[in-house]
Amino acid sequence: MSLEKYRWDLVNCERCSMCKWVHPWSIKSKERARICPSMQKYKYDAYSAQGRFDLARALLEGEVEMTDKAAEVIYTCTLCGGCDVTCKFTRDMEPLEVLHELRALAVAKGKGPLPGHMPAVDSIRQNDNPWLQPRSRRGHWARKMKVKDLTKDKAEVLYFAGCTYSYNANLQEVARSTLRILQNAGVDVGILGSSESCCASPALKVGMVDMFREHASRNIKLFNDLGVKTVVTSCAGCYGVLRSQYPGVGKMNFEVKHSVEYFDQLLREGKLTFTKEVPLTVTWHDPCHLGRGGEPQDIWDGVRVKWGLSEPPRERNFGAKGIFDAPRNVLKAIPGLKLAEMERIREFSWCCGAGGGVRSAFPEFALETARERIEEAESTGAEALVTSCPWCESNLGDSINAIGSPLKMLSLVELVNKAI
Amino acid sequence: MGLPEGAYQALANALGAENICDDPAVTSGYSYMWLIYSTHAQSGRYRPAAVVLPRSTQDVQTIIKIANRYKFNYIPVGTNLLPPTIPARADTIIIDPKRMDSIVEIDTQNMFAVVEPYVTYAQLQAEAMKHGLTITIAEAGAQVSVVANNMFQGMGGTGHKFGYNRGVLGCDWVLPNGDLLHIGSRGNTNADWFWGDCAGMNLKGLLRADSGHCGGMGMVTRMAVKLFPYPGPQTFPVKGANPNFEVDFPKDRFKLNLIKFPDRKKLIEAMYEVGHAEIAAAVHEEPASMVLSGASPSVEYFWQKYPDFMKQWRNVLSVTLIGFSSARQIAYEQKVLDAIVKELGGSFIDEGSELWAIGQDNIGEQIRTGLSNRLFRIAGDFFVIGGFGFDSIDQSYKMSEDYMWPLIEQGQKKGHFVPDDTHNDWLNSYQLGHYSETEPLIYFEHDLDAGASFINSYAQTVVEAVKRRMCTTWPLGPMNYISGPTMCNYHELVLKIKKAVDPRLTSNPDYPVPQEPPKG
Amino acid sequence: MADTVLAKVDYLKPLEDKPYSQVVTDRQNFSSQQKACLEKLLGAEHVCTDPAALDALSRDKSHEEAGRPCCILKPENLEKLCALVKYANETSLPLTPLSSGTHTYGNALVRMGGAAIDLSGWKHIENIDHRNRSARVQPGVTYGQLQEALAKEQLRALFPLLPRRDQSVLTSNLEAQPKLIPEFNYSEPVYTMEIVMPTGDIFRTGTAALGPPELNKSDMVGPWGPGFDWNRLYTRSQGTLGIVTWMNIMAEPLPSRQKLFFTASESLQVLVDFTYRVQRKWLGYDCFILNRTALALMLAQSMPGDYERLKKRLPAYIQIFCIGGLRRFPDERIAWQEADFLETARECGLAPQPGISQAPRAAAFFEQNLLRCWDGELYWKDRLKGASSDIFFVTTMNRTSRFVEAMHQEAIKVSVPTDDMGIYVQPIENGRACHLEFMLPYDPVDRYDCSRMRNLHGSASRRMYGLGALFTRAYGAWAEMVASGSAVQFQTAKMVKDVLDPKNIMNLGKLGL
Repeated sequence: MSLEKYRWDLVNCERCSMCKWVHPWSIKSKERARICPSMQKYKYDAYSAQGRFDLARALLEGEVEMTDKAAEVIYTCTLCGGCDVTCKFTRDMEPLEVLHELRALAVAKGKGPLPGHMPAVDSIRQNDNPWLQPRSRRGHWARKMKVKDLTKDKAEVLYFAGCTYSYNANLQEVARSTLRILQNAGVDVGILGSSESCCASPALKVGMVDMFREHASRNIKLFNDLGVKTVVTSCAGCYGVLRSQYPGVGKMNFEVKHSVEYFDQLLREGKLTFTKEVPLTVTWHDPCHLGRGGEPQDIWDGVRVKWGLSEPPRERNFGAKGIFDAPRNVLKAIPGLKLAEMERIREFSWCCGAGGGVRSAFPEFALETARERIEEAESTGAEALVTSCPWCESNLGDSINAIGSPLKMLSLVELVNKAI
Repeated sequence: MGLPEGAYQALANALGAENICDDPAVTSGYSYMWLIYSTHAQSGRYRPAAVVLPRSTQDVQTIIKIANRYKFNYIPVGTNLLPPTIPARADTIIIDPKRMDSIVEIDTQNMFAVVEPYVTYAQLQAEAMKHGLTITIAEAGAQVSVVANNMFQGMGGTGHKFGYNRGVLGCDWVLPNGDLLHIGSRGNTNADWFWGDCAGMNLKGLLRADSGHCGGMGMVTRMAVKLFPYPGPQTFPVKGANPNFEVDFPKDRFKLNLIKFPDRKKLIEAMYEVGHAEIAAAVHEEPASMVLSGASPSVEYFWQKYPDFMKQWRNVLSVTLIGFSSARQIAYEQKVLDAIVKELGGSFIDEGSELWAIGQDNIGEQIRTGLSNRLFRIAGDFFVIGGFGFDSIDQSYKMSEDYMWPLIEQGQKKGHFVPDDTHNDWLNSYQLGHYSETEPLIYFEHDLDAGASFINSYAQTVVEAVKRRMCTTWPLGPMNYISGPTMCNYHELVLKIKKAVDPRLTSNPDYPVPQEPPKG
Repeated sequence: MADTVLAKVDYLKPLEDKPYSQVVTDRQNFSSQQKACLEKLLGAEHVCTDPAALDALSRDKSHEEAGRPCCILKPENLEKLCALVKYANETSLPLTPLSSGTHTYGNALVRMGGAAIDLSGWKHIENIDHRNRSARVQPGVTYGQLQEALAKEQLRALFPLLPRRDQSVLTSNLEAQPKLIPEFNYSEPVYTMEIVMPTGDIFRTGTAALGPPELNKSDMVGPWGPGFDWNRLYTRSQGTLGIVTWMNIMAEPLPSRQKLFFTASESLQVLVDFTYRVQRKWLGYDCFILNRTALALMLAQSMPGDYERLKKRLPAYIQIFCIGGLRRFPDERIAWQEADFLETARECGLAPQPGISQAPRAAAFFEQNLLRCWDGELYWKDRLKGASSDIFFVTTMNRTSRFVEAMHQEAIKVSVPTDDMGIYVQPIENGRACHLEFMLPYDPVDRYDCSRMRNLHGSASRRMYGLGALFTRAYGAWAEMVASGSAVQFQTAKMVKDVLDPKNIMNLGKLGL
């Protein structure tokens, strides 16, 4: 059982509760002090990393069974990694890995994924996307664009649209705009069209580890075979797994970049310039998988020795080396645009609520979590909430509509388009 | 054995089904805790029979009345850090106050805030700082409950100026019989929360002692706590990114001094002189292990640096000056401190030196504790071998040298405790040096042998103190039977009062003093 | 239990199986057999039944009902005191402990029979510890006596405002009388105490519990515990829970020099606002506000002539503020505090002065008297009419003007001249709260004046209570007032009393118990 690898973590958690909060030094107000959406929603300690550590330890020790309720406790978590950031400030532990392992255990025990996850899981298995859409339509988003098809041509850069931007009619423009901007900047870029396949992040997040590894292996091989130097994606979810999980599956001969990183790079190189004013006050939402989840994870297979030292020594990801500056640089470069920051930003960003299979299995929880973010965004005085993740955009957008917020939900690329 | 028949339903009816849970997947989250083997070695460890989430004082009264009616036990918790809140009996529920998380009021003129039990120090201080106010924050961390910590301990980094165990004003306290006792000015329905002493007999005296009752005397549902002047920025001035944060307070109002003394006795003298001169806001002896752990982003980093650092960082006193009034205050206090250090042959650690770089965040730690849980990083488990005995600075020093360090050295010889030959504690001055307490820090692995070594040493400090008629460690729970007989049999009086207010013994029954002495 | 329900006040807990009235009568009777036992315990010379002496103790300066002790007991030492209390506990003899001093508020009156224990002869300063800034005193030690001893150690006692010469330091601290210095770190000055419990057992609080002073290896300055916070529980308990035989209290560094400032205003609110700002900056030592009447009572060289003249000339309110220099760089300490203080005053549109132009004596008077007892024959509060009826409580400074207004209204209702009402505002803990005191002069030999003042005292107290006053020192009728307002508080206090004083012998009738 893989949880066994984390036994040291489980028995050494001193229940300090740091995992429930933004690091104390970064707390700016009473209302924006929490980091864990699950804790905020469900209240019982069981719904925090600390409580799930206890559950994991109890499962390991045979004190409790993997029941439906245990599965519910395990899956009512967005896997946002907020707990991981504050815990690691203090301790040498891996809450996010434990949370993933708990899901794998739930699957192994036949209690996961939950019914709400199954359509997406089955769809990935059958259609290579979680949206129950046929493979053949995957490349339709770009059919009116003149772009290299990398199944036939060579290019330096693969633009990996991802499932959501490929299929969701409301969001496809994000992919098209991004591709257009890259092309106009002279980037040698191509796409895979209908040959693109799901990154399998949704499978990983619900504990379907084998399915994930199968997809990841296939994708790595495909990308390596294409001979591209860089894979660019606009989806923070894809980006997160490509950066932090794929390296554990196979050797990658390419680098992975999120489109906002690429925009930032193009700006610095003078290949992208903004000429039009965009008179708007906006606030930036750091997607979990772009921000703290965008920091590569060390692949470590070792043991804990005397005093808890890691053998071999482990490099830990603290969540602060994700993509935080690039989107801010891009926004700040847009003439007339004002960036008003929320209280919880960068590695302490509050999750949108969609991740970890929560949006499909616990939609109410997802919306409540988003609502808290919307309120936080509103408190900055911003007119628009900007992000660069289809999951965040959908979930936050739905919440804006549900509560009738005056905020506009924008993708960063829309602003870039307006400014060019 | 769970709850008596009908009890769960009674609670569910009263609170709503969504506010009670007895599923093991949920209750497991309240069943395990650091040091569990030490406090529950005799009584065992249980998952709570249920966890309840009251929304209000009235809900808490209802829960406690139901507990009395059906005869089961309850343990009220805050942010739930300490072992006594893990059930030692099967028919115990946890009262978790997560739905009681309001800052009810901040009175900026009269310097107090009213909070519910699930408000943390960091939350309260963040709001207070907006008004030029602050609070002294528990060393357990700014993420702990203000109410629970004030019930238990109430000390912190700025205790030299802001006191120890002085923070509580008016309270709403649900007694173990379910009655709502108003403490202090709350006793007059026309007054508010501003004062903690009751009219007539001051029942605030029952709220706690040198340490708390660990849920053995009902539950405080609202508490007014003292705030103090704060001349700094409205937002805690943090820089950097995880895990390397730094603080950046304005130098003309906040001045950290790290001072090395030739020996520990000189350091103690300096603490007295600083107290008599009535300067400074925070004064602590800072042990090497503590300082280095605060600067360590990983256990590997700590152990790589520790052997050399331990040689260099000895007998260091941290003195933080705060200019409450103006920069003039800082200038004057620095001049006095310079004179004291010179008289006693001390030397300031240079700003810019490597030692300074490691110790500089001490000021942030004193104002908003954020590093202290890193102490667990060193070996897995951490505690204080004893100490906490509140008396004079001299007494702290004597306790440390006479009987605590010898016990630490025994643990080190067995390989249970992390090596440390500095004999430096976290020894603290409170209230301008009127009081002090000392905490010789020990770090040990989370295994039964090392844990037993710790708990035996902890209990032994009480025995040694009693033998010497010196200050004792906090004698939690059963240890009161060691200290009580030589200390005017206080434990018997405590027990009598406990029985009077909790006749059915439903409120965490083994605290503050168990009904029977421990066996063996 | 709803907290506003009127409490059932049991004045005496019937212990025997006989009618309540009989219990009361029995307790008030003092048999020759009892006397003989006490004489055997204490020595005949320490048991006084002289009617004149008993009469003298049957009244104090309050409006409280007269109560005559059956005897006055003067145990010589701790051992005899313990034996006496044990005997009283066994025989249900009520005991009322007295320290030194003029009894002012009824708390030393023997309300329900029994013996008075006079500890005014216990005048020993047991220890002065310069290093730990503490002094251990017996109940009979007075402020003058203590300050004289402390000054030799470059220390000072924490003084209340111009205490009586015979004021017991121990009682003052046990009653938590407000001190002139609102410095937070001085404001709970009790370190540890020794208590003879109602059972006759000895109990010591804080680190003093580790053993009697001769064996105790702590410095006995740790105030908390053991088990409960006994210091707080016993403070203001008015002897209902036991007899305190010594107390270790804070003694603070004696300033090597000091500088006084007087800030005048016609508005209390203006000075309150100023005081808030000064205290928020944690400046200075002594800081308090007096109205012109209180000040004139202190400063007048003759009564009523000089008093009246002063009262006409003085500003309505004066804040008195003192800065002190300590051992190192005293002038520089005074200088920075003075600069900050005056800057704050300027921001408030105020101009502190080194004296009061309308009362040239003031500067020297306060220079000399912040660490002294009142010297005159008649206490300063009593100078106008021979007595003063005081109403005092804890509140916050921003509420003081409202209380003053209400107090004036109450006085006017019974035709008591408001300009003879002294007012004293003592900030506590850097202005977090304050002690507000009204002094109502009356003629103690004029029955009409006494009766009028008794009525005013009652009605005004109730009015103040209704406005949110916290009568922490719940003397006499105040005890019933506060008990009626907080039933659970009263019942819990009673429960504690029952545990600690199971035979119900200690200071019966106080605190409504």
